[in-house]
Amino acid sequence: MNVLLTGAGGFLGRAVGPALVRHGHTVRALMRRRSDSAVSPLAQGIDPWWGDLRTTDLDAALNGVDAVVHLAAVFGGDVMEQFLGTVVPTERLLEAMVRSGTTRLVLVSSFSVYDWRVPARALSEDSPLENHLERRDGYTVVKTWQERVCRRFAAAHGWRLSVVRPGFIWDEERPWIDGVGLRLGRTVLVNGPFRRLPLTHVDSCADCVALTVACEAANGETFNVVDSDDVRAWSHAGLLIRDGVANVRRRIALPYFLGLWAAFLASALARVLFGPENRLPGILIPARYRARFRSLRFPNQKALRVLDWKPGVHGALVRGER
Amino acid sequence: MRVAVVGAGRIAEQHFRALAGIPGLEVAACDRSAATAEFAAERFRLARHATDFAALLAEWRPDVVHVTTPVGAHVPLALQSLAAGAHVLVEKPIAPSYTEWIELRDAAAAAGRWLLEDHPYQFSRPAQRVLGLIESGRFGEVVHVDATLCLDIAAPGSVFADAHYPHPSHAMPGGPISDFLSHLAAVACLFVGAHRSTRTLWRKRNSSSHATFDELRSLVEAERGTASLVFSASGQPDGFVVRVFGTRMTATMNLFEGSLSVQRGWPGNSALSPLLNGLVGGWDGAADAARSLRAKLAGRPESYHGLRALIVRVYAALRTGESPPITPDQIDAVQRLIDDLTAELKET
Repeated sequence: MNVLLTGAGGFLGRAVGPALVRHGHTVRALMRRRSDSAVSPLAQGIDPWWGDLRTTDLDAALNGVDAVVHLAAVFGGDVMEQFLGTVVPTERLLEAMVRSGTTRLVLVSSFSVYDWRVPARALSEDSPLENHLERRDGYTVVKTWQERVCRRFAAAHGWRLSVVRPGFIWDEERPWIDGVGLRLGRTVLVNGPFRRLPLTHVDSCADCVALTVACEAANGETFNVVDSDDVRAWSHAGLLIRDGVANVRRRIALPYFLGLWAAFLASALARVLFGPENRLPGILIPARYRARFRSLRFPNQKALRVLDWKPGVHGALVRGER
Repeated sequence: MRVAVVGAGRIAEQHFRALAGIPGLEVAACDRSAATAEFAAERFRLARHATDFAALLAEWRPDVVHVTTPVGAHVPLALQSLAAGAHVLVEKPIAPSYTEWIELRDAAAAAGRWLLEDHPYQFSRPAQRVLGLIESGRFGEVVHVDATLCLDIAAPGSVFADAHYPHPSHAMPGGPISDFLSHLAAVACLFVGAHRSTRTLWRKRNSSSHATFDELRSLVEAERGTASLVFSASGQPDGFVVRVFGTRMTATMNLFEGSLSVQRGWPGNSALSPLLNGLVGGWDGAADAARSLRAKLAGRPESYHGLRALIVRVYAALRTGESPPITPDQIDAVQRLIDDLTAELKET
């Protein structure tokens, strides 16, 4: 298939392009032209399309394209900046897809869209999504809205939409993940040390995305992408210390519920002192604390079964292959 | 009363927040992006959202329209709103040129509707306190105002530095500085009146900046005194520092932070004045800094206090039949000054 890949220059995008090629697709990689040399040489079969989703000629970019893999999103900034940089360009892309007649869309979303308060034991594709977006951070808001607009367009135009929701994506160059804990200088405070981490290696995640594109059974489906949930936060923090990642030297265990109660207390106090629109750090807002540190199982059976996906392992980091 | 906010992006957030605090308003969001309009409606619990502004005007018939789009759309949207019988509050700068401002002003006069430009800092806490001192006579006559706006427009993450999605102000004659001329000009006109002449330098100091110009210096002669206006992208930290010199007092405000310090002559031994001014200024500075921090933690930063206060006054005046808080003559004085500052670009 001829695939337009958005966000091709990003962390995941740089792995998804080659994965699509390995699976026999031709890739048009939409990415911003950068002055530095951060973009590695493009693999054979990847045709770069230099541009920004907000401004580039999408009718031309979609010419001859059979499927779109949509990864592009803005990280950082306030909620409105993220919305204008992620959801509005997504709308622009979807409108161009309507004009071009492209009917296959794979959206890469996030675990952040779930309501982490509800699941009793496991977070699966059937778990409810967050309804109280005002409690969550800007990234959750825009990924939720991005899914909403994609689902609406897909329903309105009869497209084949698949949504892929990765857990924490890491690789040997970027082993730090926010889910491990709270970094305080050289110390990492591991909130809920026995908690399982929904990790996925970037290559493994890219392989899952690439498999989804041509899989007929994936149409209309959502997949959580987790290599395995065997890795505990405490042991992952230990590996980070061993390998000197992010200058972390020590780990301190903090029971999950102690942190959650502190967040409830801080949140209630801030509400009294500063009103309902107060701006507390995310770690002190219970819904955000929960979304980052709640202890759950993260089954990946659906992706294994439907896509015949072979997830990667945590082994590379364990073996110190960095 | 029905209110439509057209353009539901960054600055519109502050309008929605201000409108939420005013009872008896039904508010609609309109944006070309359906998701943006709906997002605003959901987030601020609005009565309605739309993408077709003409249809919204015709069907919903708002009493007031806030135009919060990029500057290029201000004039056509404001004209449409006036023609539909609505009062209009337009974000700064109200129009891309003086000619277009005149067109708008005449349309508002013909329609018998209010047309206001957002001059937020006039209604900020420190500016209101200084205006109170001036009105009471304690400040004496204003001799000079020095307005310096420092903002690193080339900083990573700045909307003015995004090479992939150029900010609309880059298309204006003075580049991103044009986006801030309204603030500088409004402050000058507020304290020393309409200008008579200007001498202005436009410069580019940071060669790596995308902006055509990133520094401005202007000396203004006005009805009641003089003003020096400065925009600096290199001067740090970011701030909007306005110093007003009177015949009895000097007031220094940081309008981004909402702080005010007043220097005055104390009765008795003048040798003690610096010490007394230092003590009083230190106390005021600490109190202002605490209030600024509290406002940030409360999600209502002081930099937008003036906009909220202006919007509250607009609706209070509409209800009571008082005159608008910003008059067409005030806007005209600001637009004329901006026009002259920009005209000197040609000489540069």
